[in-house]
Amino acid sequence: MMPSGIFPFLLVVYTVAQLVFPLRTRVPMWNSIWQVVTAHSPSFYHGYVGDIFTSMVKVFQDIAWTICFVVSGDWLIDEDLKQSTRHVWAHSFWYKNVLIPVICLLPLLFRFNQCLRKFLDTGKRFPHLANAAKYALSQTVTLFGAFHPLYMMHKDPNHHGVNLFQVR
Amino acid sequence: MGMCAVLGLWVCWDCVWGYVRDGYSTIGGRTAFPVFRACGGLLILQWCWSASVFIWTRYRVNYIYLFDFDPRIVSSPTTLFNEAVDNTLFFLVIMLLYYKVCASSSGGCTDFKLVESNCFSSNRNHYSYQTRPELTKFQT
Repeated sequence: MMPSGIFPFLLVVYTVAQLVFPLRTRVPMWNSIWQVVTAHSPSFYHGYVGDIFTSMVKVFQDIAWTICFVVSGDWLIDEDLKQSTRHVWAHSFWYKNVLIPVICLLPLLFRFNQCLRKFLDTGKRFPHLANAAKYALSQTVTLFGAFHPLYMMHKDPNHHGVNLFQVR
Repeated sequence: MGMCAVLGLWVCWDCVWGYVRDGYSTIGGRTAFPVFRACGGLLILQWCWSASVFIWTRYRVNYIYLFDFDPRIVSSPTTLFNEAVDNTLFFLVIMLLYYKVCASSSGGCTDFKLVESNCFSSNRNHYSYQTRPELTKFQT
């Protein structure tokens, strides 16, 4: 019998196809994203895209969850199985304490790099260095929220994961 | 867009109202819900970008110049909205199918066949004039 996970899998395949085709418009889009990631001579548009990325942390977390869901083959497992037998990777150290905090940090890091690059290109301390300081502070706040035990006190005392960023 | 609205209403009705009325679990409680959340987030981004381009075009903001776009590959707002509608339709249909299959396997609603037949008919209606030239004679 066909597993119910085939439907999310179909949606993933369709979404990936939409992100790749048509090449005429998608190649420039991915080039722009690459320039945002590398902070290579950022223009107004790259700053705009970087700002959008900082608002899409939750979506990026879900995309990471989706990639793990598809790659691990969990979409083939029946829905009626017990919760404990599903998504073992979602409770692993590398996912909760490494991947999810990194995903939270990366958009801020991209904007931070862009601000520093703009400062190097133009030599103007304001507003580029001020913006860089803002994003550096944001990264500190994110790291604090991810790893400070204060935010885990209300959770299971035997659990040392990053509960703030746990998807499910 | 009307079909998107109807399907969206259907999703809301089944996934939210079903929970309020009968105590069935919502689609948010399903295993693969983050997959739909991820694709839904990308869809919202596509809708927002389409709306932005529409407003910029409507009020003559030269975003092509501001963003350093290549004018030869810039899509019109209508094209962007059409793509967003197609993707939203696929998303909502898959979401409904997934929810119904899960609900029927766990003893909940069992109108999976209804969803399947409606999806087929809506697909025929939506793509009729684009892909079926024999129907264009009815277009007035």
